[in-house]
Amino acid sequence: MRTPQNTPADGKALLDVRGLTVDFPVAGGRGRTLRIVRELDLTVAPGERVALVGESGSGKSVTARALLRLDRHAVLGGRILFEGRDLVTLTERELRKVRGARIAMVLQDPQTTLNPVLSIGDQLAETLTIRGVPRKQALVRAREALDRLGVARAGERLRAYPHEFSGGMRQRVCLAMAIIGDPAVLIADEPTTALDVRVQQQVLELIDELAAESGMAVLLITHDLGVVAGYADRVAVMYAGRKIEGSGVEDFFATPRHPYAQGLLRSVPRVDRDVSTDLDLIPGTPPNPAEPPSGCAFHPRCDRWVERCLTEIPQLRVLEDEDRVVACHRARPEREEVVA
Amino acid sequence: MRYLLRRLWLVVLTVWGLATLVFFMIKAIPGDEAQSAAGITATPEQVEVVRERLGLNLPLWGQYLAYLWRLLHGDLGSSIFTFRPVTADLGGALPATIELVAAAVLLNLLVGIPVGMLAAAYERRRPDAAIRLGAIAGGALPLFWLGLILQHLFGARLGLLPISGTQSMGVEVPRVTGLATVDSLLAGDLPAWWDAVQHLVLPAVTLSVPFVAFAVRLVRTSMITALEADHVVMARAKGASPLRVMLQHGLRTCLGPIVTLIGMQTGWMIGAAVLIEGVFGRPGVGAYLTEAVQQKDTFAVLGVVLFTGVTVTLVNLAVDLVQLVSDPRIRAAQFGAAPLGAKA
Amino acid sequence: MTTAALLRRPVLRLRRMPKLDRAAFAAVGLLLLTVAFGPLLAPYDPYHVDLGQAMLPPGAEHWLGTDSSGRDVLSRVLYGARPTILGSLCAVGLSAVIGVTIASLAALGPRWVDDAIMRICDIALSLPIMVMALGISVALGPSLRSAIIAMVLSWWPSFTRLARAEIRTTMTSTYVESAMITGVSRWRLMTRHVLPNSLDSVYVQVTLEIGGATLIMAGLSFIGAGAQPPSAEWGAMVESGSRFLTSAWWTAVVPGAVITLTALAFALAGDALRARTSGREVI
Repeated sequence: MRTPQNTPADGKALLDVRGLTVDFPVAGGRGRTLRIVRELDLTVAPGERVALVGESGSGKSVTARALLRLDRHAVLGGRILFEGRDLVTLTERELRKVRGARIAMVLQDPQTTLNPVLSIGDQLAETLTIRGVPRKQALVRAREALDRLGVARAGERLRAYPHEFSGGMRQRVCLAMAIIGDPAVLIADEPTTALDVRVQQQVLELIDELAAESGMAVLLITHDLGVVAGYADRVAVMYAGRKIEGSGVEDFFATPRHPYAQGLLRSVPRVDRDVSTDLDLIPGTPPNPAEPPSGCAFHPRCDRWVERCLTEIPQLRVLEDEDRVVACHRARPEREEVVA
Repeated sequence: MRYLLRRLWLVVLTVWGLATLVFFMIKAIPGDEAQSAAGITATPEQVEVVRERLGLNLPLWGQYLAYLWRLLHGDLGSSIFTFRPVTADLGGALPATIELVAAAVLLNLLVGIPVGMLAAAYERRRPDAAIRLGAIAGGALPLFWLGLILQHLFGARLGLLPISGTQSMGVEVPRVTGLATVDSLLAGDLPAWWDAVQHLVLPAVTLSVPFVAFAVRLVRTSMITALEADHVVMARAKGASPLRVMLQHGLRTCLGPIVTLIGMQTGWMIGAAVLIEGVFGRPGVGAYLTEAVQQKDTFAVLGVVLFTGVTVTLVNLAVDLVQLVSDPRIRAAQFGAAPLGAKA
Repeated sequence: MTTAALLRRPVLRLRRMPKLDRAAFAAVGLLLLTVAFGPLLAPYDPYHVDLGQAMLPPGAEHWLGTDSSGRDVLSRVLYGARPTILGSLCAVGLSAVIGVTIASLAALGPRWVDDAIMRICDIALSLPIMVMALGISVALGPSLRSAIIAMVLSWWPSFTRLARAEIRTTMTSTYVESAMITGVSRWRLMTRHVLPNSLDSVYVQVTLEIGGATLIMAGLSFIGAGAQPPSAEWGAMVESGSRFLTSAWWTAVVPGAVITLTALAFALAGDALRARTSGREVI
């Protein structure tokens, strides 16, 4: 068995997450913590677009924020290797240099992401001004960033305030804020969830263009499989705080290996099926992080569990002949027999 | 614009209501109003003259109108005690109170906001708990008692600070504004200025204690809520330092309501100044009022009541206007702003 | 949450409360007991003047010493709980009742009634209570009663505003709408449906305000606009003791300390109550 790392084709990962755990202190309890992310492995290669998929509560947003240590109260374990350093153990001071400049982030709701009492220009320029770039120059680059994102009359808009913009425009501003530092990685946490459909596509196209132009890698957090299909190269599926499948997008949609992933794809309504057939949903609900099931966290909802699933947590394994990893005791493509 | 007009209209209404209230209070006091106005030593003829002048022979609504007319001309009646118009008396007493309240407000802002921010920064940890307890304790102290104790400790016992008054005996400064600290600066008299400051320290600190306590709790809660916002996370994601996050993204978003609420406290402060001026022997409006009450000087008392009410109303208006000017969100809410880029 | 639910819910469950909250409620209980039974426990007559025993420091015979007229300080403190605390309680309680009543009228009546009431609130709120109290003491003569009147006149608007906001919120809720649809009279609507569900924050506010009211009551007596000597009201005690800080500091310091502890206990208890009923801690 090879090491459970899905190393991409060119062999060098830009962002290499190994065994990441994220714990939060429980309110009231003394020293008690709740583990939200359990031993996550994830890699992003330069210029690659990776989608991190999961339901609400799977821990994907927490993971995204943990990469930049944005939650003050979170306790991190494991390693986040980036440009030769481990972000988990980096000092706060050093980490601040990485934030915004090397790894940038776009949050879900553009309305709340922008500070209502500061002008757009000030907020755009902030990434640069805090690094010593003179304000005038920073504003010029802010204007350029807005231009690049297709905002008309960018110069005037710099003086405007967030409430003067519509939702789609605000998200463009947030994207501009992210790329202004010319980062190597863009983490987009559900960038389209708060937008309407027409605008969603525009934003995703924009992200794609930006990535292609600058060679920026994108880590796209989403629960929308359609987004994954259209805008990702590789996909990592999370369930109950763990990564349970990772593969190239085409392989994933063609033959998902993990029962959960299979269930997800089955449950998506299909154009070529009769409208009147019922939706094929996965029974049950995701587990409560405070009380995870024993063994494999998915077993209560799985249709293929065996005894081993109840006692042993499946580890990510590289599948033979396939460039993918799966964490399931039952996932063997060749042999479908029951394992005692 | 409509907002401004509406606001001003409310102020006018409030002032008018206050005047009416005071009118009825005057009427409610037992005794002959003309007699009180003329003074104890007045002859019956003099009393009649006063009665004519004040329009007291008219039916009630006539008296009311006469009263309003006098008010509009700035006539609050005369003090029985000092024989001067109440407005003149107030003019003399006002500066000491202004000095006191201004110093207390300054202390409030300079101490309350940073300490509140500190508490928010260390939320749920020991410094926060200590600060919160301190704030609750500070809010429970009776002002007059605290003043007495401080006065005793620092004045009588340790001799560090003066006990009462605005300036030491023999220190004279040409009176421009009436505020000892300002006048001494204007006269370039530094020792006198220092003397005035020393006289101001204890009263101002005492007065500010319960208000600082409130401000600390207010700032703490506001900051904690403000720091939970997404844009704060975003700022950190851009690499901003904790200080910058606290100030530009935390404080700046919640400062407006904080300043407004603190400004609205001015009314309470003026009321509390009555106590402080008594303890520290400062010749301000509060002292004037207390004296007038003891002398049963009706017009003086009610004159001060009316004056105070109007002042508080105006201060609240000023605070509202400041917030309107400084907060773009409120400007937009009141004046309306069409969203740009409606076509995303 | 209805009043009934509030009483049913173990808000005051003692065992699981943090220590500070428990101490606060205990202190409040102690204070209320003092109000009720203080005079019975006093070792001496609080008004008995005995110049031979004047200005004695705290000792075996007089636990808290005696004042300048030879009166036992401890006894005076015990007696003084009534005017100070009971007076404040009355003031706040009356303000709350009046405030809520007026708020109900504002909510029930036509729009202009609501507007008028709001304007009257503005006017009343623009007068600081000290000033208002002094004004009233000139009109009615200074006494504990005029102090309470002044406090009520100053305080009712804040309760009106609070209750009005709550009532308005409750009136938009669906169960009230259903009651209205079934043709319930407005009076019944208010008393049975709206008010019980709107008053939570009022109760909490009352508890929180009692501490402040005590401070104000003491302050009014201190400047002579409240309880008059020889009343053992704590603020008046501080005033009479203020002249003797150097020679008999306990006569002024002790009553003031008691006032502080009272205000502190009510403030902490009020905070604990608010944390319990609203879930999330506020200021």
